[in-house]
Amino acid sequence: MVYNLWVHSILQSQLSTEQKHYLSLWQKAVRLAEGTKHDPGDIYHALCNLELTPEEQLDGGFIRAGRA
Amino acid sequence: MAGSSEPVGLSPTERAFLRALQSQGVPFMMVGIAAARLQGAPVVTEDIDLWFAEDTQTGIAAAAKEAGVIYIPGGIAMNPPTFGGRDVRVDQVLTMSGLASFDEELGNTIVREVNGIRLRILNLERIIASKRAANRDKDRAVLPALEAALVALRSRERKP
Repeated sequence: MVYNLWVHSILQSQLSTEQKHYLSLWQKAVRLAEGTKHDPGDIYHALCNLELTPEEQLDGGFIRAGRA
Repeated sequence: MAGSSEPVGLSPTERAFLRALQSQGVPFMMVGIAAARLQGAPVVTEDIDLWFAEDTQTGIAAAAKEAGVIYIPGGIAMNPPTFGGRDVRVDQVLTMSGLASFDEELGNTIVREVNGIRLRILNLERIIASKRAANRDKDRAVLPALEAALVALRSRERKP
């Protein structure tokens, strides 16, 4: 257990800022899903989507592109 | 998602149509999956559902003509009012299950600026309510993702 925590802290310290950011979103999603019927993966993707511009949000949501 | 190309959002014709609707004074709101998408929901769709106030048929037809959108009024071949065109993904929603009147639901909208156009969007809570009430297979299929998005959205709203 102590060894695992040590390995995790070493691994986390080696992550880039971007990796840490998305990891924190994942951890937040897991926390939000705890004790609910919600899927942490769905919450994670929603948290990621909320960081996009409205145009990017639409682009990711269409089967057919808008052909600009 | 983060990529190398510029985001597109609405197509040029869709932008022209939405601007024309606004200049014609046609009250409308975006509903359905595209509206949910603009609130973070990880779901996909074929179309942009627009819900119009009653008695706006003339204004809609005029806006379509101005924007170069193909518009087929309802009832010609037992069809609902239908839009067409290569880069037009707009659908007119005639009824919204489980919701109040258009005017009442205007109070449950938020404003999002997309491609420089300020659009009224039905809030995610009400989109979920309409999907629950519609209760078709395709509505039930998206509910888990919509509900998860609401959890994510609320967690951000709580953030100072």
